[in-house]
Amino acid sequence: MELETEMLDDGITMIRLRGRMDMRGAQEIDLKFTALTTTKQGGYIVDMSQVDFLASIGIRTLLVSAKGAKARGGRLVLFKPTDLVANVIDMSGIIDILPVFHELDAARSAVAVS
Amino acid sequence: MSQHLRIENDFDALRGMSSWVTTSCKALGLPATLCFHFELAANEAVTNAISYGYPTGARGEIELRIGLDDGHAVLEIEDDGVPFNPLEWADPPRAQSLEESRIGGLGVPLIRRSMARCDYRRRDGRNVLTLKSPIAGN
Repeated sequence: MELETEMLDDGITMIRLRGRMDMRGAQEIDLKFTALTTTKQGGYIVDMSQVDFLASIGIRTLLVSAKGAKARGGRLVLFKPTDLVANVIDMSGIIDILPVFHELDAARSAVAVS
Repeated sequence: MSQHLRIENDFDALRGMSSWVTTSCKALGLPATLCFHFELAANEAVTNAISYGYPTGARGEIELRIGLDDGHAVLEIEDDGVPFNPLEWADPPRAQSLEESRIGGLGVPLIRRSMARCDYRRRDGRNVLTLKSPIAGN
């Protein structure tokens, strides 16, 4: 898996993930992803549009980061997963705590740093 | 018509297994969503078998079979690990908040929700997990 970041204006970090979020993929990005999302307070939008597979281990990585962000007074949301990946998020029952957005403005409002 | 794959109880074998599941499902003419669901369920089930079925360092064998049966696609996963029925694990309640959500335990619910039917039995000293979904309506 690959990970890139972009700082949007108003202090929001866009994290773009690419590849398969299975055991190997999650391991490849885990340290960097967790460090990015848990070392400072902030809003994080995780662009999932290039993620073509998601297993429970990948959901675990997302949840750990969402928890870490929240513990620091920030927020992490998911952005534009494909239909198949969105279905996995839905089946895992965490959609209430790891919100999914398809419109950037709505994602930005959701994580805006006050 | 069915396809077989045998792998070791090694996480390094997961990607190859995953790719085999998708290719086999496509070869059987299954729709894309069903191929994806079988790939997901196989990843979760085989990960569990490797994680919980063997003492550290023990070598084992996991066999997968995919076929068609009366309008259904069937994936059978058989391993020679310790007796282990993943379906006995209760579904975790839907997490209401980030604080409440358990970090682990999502694998089995994903298997149950992505497959129309899941059955476990112990046969000839092996765990056999049978996952089934109808081809039509997917």
